[in-house]
Parts: sequence; structure tokens; C-alpha cells
Amino acid sequence: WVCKHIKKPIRSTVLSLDWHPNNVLLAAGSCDFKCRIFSAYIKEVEERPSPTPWGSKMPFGELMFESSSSCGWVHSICFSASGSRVAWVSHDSTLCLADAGKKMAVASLCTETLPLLAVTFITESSLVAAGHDCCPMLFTYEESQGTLSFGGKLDVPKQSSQRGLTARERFQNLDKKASSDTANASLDTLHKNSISQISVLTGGKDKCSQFCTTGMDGGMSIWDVKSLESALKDLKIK
Amino acid sequence: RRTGEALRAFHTAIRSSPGSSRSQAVKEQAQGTMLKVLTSFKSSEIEQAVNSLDRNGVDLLMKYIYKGFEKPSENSSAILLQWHEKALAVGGLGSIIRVLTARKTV
Repeated sequence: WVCKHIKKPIRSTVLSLDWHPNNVLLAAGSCDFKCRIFSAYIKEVEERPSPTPWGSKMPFGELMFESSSSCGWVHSICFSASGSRVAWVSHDSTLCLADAGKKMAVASLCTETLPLLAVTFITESSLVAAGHDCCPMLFTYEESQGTLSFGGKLDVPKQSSQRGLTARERFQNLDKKASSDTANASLDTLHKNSISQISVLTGGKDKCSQFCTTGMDGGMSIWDVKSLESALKDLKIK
Repeated sequence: RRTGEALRAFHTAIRSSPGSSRSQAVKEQAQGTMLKVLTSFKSSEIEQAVNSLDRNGVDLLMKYIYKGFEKPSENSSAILLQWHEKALAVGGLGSIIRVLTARKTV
């Protein structure tokens, strides 16, 4: 084993890491509000890496990319399958993407949601992210315009039949919540608490066919992309 | 005609927001101007004004609304609550999150 420490210029807790497919570049999201890409090339144990769109000189610890400050802790960070794009989500309810193919231009989206905690690419231009709204959502990167857009929620609850409360349930609500009001008694989403992690299960980050979400409700759900596409008619995955 | 004036004043106030100015005096003057503009609107005109903004404009408006809540004057909170309702409908909870996380306040 070789162990080396990359310190500069990180100024606070690193919350998230993701490796570039070349196994040398490492993206790090930090509580200092920045997304950074470092070279982790250790010449004692590996071959010199070929140039990538992020740069050609990769001495150990070299800062290949650093985002300008968003205003929130960077919770999660993800390279696309090709490695030429990196996306991250911040606590200020934004989603950002840096495109090395466009001179590291950064596209950002101020979302209408609560902060997202996890993000992954499912194709080279489509992302799934989730967080405190307890619901995975689709986002699309439009390369030609350099923009990110919201593509829709992926957890659309089936309309369950509205049944009335029994007298017992009413009393229980009154006892627990000091109210017999049924509105918002529980979340409609599958996850009953924030989703903290998303993992690609099958298909890789360029043609994901299944992904998995885990949440602070202790739940783990597997989502099938084809099923989502047929169930949600307006969903467009690029 | 009066509606048009209020809307124009609103857009001017949004456009000329000090941004990264550090001068407290400049910021307070902008806050005062914005509050005057917001309180001059009739309830029925607010939604149209909010819909005329882009995403950044809505975020900026939300910052001024909360600033206005911090320094209430007579009847200001009532009209600000109406602005808040309309801004929230367009900007979502995310716009409020960004009021809380912003490094540069208005």
C-alpha cells in the first residue's frame, strides 16, 4: 500500500469523492463549498496517465479544476461515464455540472427543491439526484446551450383510494399529534425520510438500467429505468 | 397606468440591486427602496410582477422579502406575506434555502 495526503487547498470537510474512469483523477466535494478535481497519480505504483480533457500534466496533488463558490456544502459529486463531465449538488439547493469538453464551463441550476444530497449520471447527459424531498428526480444537461434543466420527479405515487379514518385512528392522531387533521399525515413518497445515497446498479453511468436509493428512513429501493420511462409519459431521458 | 409604473419601479429596483457592494449604507438604501416598491403594489398586481422575473430575479426578490420581514414597518408584513406566497409558488422551497445559505446578503 502507498498512502499519500492531499491537503491543499481544501479548507473543510470532504463530503464526497468520485474517481475518474482513468483511475487517476479524483473529484472531491467539500464543506468549503467547492468541487475540486485532483490528480492522485502516484508514480511509484502506476503508469503515467494519458492526457484527458481536464489537462495533461498530472503530478500528484495537482488541482485540475476548482469550482467557484456556490453557497452550500457540496454533498455529492459524480463523474460521467466518459469522465469529461462532473456534476455536484450543494446545500443551497443547486445542481452544477462542469464540462471539460467546453473548457470546464460550469452550468448550474437553482432548483425549487430542498437541498439534494446525492447525484449520479445515468447517461452522459442525464442525471438522477435526490435529497431532503425524499424523491429521486431527473435532470438533463443540454450540451449545445450549456444548461441544466429539471426533467421531473421519478417517484409519482399511485393515487391510493381515499379512505376515511376509523374512530380509533382519529383518536390516535389526536393523541400523537394534537390534531385529527389528515392532511400531510405522512409522505406520499416511497422513502419516508431524506434520500442520502444513489448508486448505479446495472448498465453503468452511461446506460443505467437500474439504480438504487438509500435513505435516512432505513429504506433501500431499486428503481428500473425502463419501467419509469413507461410509467411517466413526460419523462425524457437523453 | 399606475400598474405600469409600479411594475417598472419594481424591475428597476431588481435590476439596480447593489450585488456585491460592501457598503452598509448602499445596501440599506436599496432595502428601503425595494420595500417602498413592494408595499406600493396592490394585492392583485403581485402575481403578474413575480411571473415577470427570471429564476435569479425570484431568488433576489425572496432575499428582499425576508430582509423586509427583519425590519417591519406599519402594515409592511401583511403585503410582504402576499409577496412571499407568490414568490414561493414560483421559486419553491429552493429559493428560501438560498436566502438562508447566501454569503452575499442584500
